[in-house]
Amino acid sequence: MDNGANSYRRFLSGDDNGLAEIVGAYKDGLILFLNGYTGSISAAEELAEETFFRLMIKKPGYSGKSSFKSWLYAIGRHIACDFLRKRSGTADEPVEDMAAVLADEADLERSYIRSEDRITLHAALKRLPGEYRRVLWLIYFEDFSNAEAGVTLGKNSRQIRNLLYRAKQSLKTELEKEGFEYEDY
Amino acid sequence: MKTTDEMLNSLYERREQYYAKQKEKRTKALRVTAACAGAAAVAGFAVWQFGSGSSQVKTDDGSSVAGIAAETSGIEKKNAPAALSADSAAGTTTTTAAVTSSPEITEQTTTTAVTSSPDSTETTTTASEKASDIATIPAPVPDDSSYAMGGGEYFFIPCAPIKDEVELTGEAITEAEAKAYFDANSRRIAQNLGVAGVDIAGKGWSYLGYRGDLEKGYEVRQDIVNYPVYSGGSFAGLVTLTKLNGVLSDTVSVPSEGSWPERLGRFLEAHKGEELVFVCPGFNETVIAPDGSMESMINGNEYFKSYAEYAFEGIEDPYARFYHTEAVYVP
Repeated sequence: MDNGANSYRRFLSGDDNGLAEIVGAYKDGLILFLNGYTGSISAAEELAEETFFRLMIKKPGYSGKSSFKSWLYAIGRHIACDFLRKRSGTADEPVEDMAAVLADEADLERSYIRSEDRITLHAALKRLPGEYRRVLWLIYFEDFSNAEAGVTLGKNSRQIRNLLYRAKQSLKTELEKEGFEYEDY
Repeated sequence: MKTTDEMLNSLYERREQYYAKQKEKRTKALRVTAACAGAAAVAGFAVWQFGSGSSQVKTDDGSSVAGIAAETSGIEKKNAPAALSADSAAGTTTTTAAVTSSPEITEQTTTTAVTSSPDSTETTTTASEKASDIATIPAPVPDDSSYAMGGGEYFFIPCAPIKDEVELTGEAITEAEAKAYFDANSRRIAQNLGVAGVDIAGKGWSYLGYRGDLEKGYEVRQDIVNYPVYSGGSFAGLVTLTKLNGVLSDTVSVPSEGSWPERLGRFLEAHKGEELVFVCPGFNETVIAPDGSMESMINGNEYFKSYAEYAFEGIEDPYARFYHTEAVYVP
């Protein structure tokens, strides 16, 4: 059983520290993952909090048939999709302080991704279509297997393989535009 | 950007607010229930005392019970005669409201009373919302079996579409076509199911399907329709009609071959007269009732449980979210 599953089990038994561990361990990654849906780090933060809140209140059963992280991210994805669905009928809210939002995102990247090279890679991801961005994020930054990415994104293994191939090609083109030279993946 | 501690504090605060709200709702609901129970008791007593045929219940001195009740509570008399003039539950409940003389209970009881009126749909909704709110009080902690680590199985669980659009595809199977087909094939279907005779309605359901493509809406295949089969009044199985190039063919699902047809039969029986939503995320055919309960057409409860959690987790009200008239069936 992975750490997240253990923490969740303790939380379900009444130990709030279990939840604190989950929030501590998965918050930043979840926000960056959800940012791939929302395109706004502050909205992604709210959705991440909503995801933890659902765990806290509804206490859904975790069967252990996938990793805890991919399960948690899948819940987050549903919440993000709901959010996008509701938002599709309304205009985006104006961002009051864009500089602060961008600084927040940069801080989060620095604390979560750490390596400068990978931060550059992450910056390149932002220029890719949403679906490519999300699958590459899960595979390269969260170390998900194809199967786990499939669980999180709701795709079967063939779809994930195809998506990943196209996403890599697209990323390569983006990086080459910036003068990077990469060997074949 | 919130730190972990700040997010946790926010979560704990939200949890307290949530539980306080739930408690308040539950208390209100209990008051309503108590008031309704009181109403029923008073109504029963009144009928026992004075007989049900009287449209205006009188006391020994000739005044109406409603009048006394209204005087006692200070509520205007004009509401009272209507309350007792009809033999309806609504009337008797309002009488109790007057007797209790509590403004809060009066309001709640009147609401409940109106619910029994068939043309008062708005109030009915309110009542059912209350019931669903109460149902969201956290479930008990699941037992250990829920946490068993599986053998590395992964599911294909698509995300529900963002667009709320339904695309109808395939050649539609009409009610007349289905009836004619069943008339011609009922004997064979009965043999397949191992029953003496079958009764199949011409109406069935198609599923609201989606495959996880966020850019697309839902799909309802009109060329695949499911019909419950009854024999001697009880559920005997399911027959699925498929139409290809204008030709119909069927697949019969027999309860003895798996647990789901039997579970589906029980589910249809338990939700008779309700509009059930049939939705298929990926390959998992699921039926959802207005109260939020659901059943899956997959064998094995434990498997379904975890699948359904994945499939709909994060969707607040799957019934409302997936309700589309194209994929609804009333058993």
